[in-house]
Amino acid sequence: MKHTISLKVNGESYKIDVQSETVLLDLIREKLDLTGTKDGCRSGECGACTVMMNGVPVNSCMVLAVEADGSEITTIEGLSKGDELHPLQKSFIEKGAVQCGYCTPGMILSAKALLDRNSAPTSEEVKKAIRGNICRCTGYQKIEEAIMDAASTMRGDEK
Amino acid sequence: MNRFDYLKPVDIKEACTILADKGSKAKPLAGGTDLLVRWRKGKVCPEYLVDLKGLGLEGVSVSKDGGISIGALSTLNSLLDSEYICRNYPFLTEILDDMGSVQIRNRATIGGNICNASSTSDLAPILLALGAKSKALALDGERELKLENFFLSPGKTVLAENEILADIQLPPFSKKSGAVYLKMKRNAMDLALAGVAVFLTLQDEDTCAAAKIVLGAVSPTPVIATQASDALVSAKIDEKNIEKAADLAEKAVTLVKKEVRPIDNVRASSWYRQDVIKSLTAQAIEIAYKRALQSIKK
Repeated sequence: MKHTISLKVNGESYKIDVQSETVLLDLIREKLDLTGTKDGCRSGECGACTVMMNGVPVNSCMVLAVEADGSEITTIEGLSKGDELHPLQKSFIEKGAVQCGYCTPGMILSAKALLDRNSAPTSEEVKKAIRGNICRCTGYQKIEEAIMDAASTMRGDEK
Repeated sequence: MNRFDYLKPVDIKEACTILADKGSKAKPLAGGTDLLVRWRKGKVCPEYLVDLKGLGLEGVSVSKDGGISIGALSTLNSLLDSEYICRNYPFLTEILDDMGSVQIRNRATIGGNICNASSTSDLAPILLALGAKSKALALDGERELKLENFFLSPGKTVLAENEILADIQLPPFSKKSGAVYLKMKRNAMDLALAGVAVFLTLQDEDTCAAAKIVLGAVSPTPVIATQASDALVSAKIDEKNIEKAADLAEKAVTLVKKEVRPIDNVRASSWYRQDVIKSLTAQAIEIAYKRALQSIKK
């Protein structure tokens, strides 16, 4: 069954036809060509496909595109302002929190969701926020450091 | 890929009509965090998914007696954010905080968790321990259900195909009560290998007036350990003597073991689950007792 949905992705409005079975992940990657969102386990375990939906992180592999009708989506492409990277993106690079990079977009969006709610998280809170994001390269330490560092930058702490 | 049609009813009446018309061809869709995974794996092949979101079955409302009605379509994170739950049912907040990931909790709903009737549900044991009730809606009316009679087998509940679970109702949590759910798992995202919910109400600082112990993840459906619970009722619990409480727990556990037919599978053997239950029950009774004492002293 075909459905016509309207949604905003990274601030841009789209009106688009989707099938009942299309998941948000495929809409984002295949139809909108925003391939920063990664296709991992397709069962809600790995978090590679994490996007923000109406301000909160969700696994886009487990949301039907038609369920996203009327919603606002932010993908990793929506974080930078032109060439200016988001503080989280900068920190991930500076702290070496990226190795193969496959988990990074999801990690950064989970981190952003945390910092949107809590500008000064503890390391324990950071770990809980990214427990739905699996990294098989770095061992999480540098990711945690990058998130703490970005939080500090965003608060405007003196360094 | 199995095809399905997504249907979005605009109100409860339309939802009930669709479910009644389509019968076993239709599946209600809540958060989808289990259903869509099982659909993708070919374990369920519905012809229709009927989205129940946006029908007004979300949110927490406080009843006159101070109890609550939790809309079945409330996401786990919306409940985690509920100040009323955090203040009056803090043990529930604690459980929610340790379920799945943030991403999952933003979609998964309490009604979905219950209707899935998974043997490893983290919510079912504590809700049973509290004596939760539910309301089921259908075209020809509604009915009240006791949650303890709700689960039939994994994936099967007493809900008919044309019924919708509307809410989960919790009685007010008494000042003399303490509750906790403890689970054994390997890591943060893992499902419980065994879980124990304990709900105690004290008569005074020493004596237990009412107790309910419910075991999860060890049997196809949650088990109310009646004999273990009864063993605590009217029993003296001496605050100064932790050992005495531990003895009571031990006593409860030996009774618990008779009632359980533990799951025996690749994730954990039955003897291991049994051992874990024994230890968890003892710990849970102690924690629930301490919490009840704290709330008496407040």
